[in-house]
Amino acid sequence: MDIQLPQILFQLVNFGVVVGALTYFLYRPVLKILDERSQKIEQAQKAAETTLQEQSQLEITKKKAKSEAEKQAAAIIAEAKENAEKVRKQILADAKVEAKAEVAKLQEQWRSEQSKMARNMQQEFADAVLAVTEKVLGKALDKKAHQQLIDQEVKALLKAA
Amino acid sequence: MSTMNVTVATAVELSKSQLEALSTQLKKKYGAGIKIQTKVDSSLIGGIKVTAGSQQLDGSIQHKLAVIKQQLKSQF
Repeated sequence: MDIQLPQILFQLVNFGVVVGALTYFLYRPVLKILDERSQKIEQAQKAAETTLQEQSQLEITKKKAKSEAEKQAAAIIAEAKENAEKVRKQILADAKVEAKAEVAKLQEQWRSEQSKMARNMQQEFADAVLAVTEKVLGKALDKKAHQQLIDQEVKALLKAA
Repeated sequence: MSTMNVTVATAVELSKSQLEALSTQLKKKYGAGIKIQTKVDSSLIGGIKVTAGSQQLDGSIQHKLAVIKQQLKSQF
């Protein structure tokens, strides 16, 4: 078997052409595709990270807003309770003042009624005593007593006049 | 000289002596020209009431009781 140099050279050139063609038409595009894919994955990762960060930020903001809303709600409830307590106390105080005034008024009314009743009773009693006195005297005075009374009154009247 | 009418009211009739004594006293007070008229009024209860013109001297028990009644009213 002879070594044929031109054949070897031809084979080498042929191999080189094939390698060159493969490199140019296959290897580079594949590398390019891989690079692009790698870039896409990297971009996707970055996007995912950004999304995660945004989500995390959103979660924090949400928690903060919730906390703020709870604080505000608690403050509103506390204020409402305070106002309600103030109103309750005011109503109670007003009711007490009103009740006191009503009691005083009724007491005054009662005293007035009592006094009026007492006056009426005294008046009626005095009238009754005088009526009885009138009747008793009318019956009790005999002629002699009448005469004495007249003498006595005549002296007194003329003396006074 | 005009005559003054003097009315003497009592719860019972005056005795003669009482009337004479009263007449003397009234004449001393109002003059001799008075005309005395007596009247029995049981509502006076006792005592005497003399009316001479517009003047009235009331010594009746009715008057005394009325005064007491008025005083009691003013006190109540």
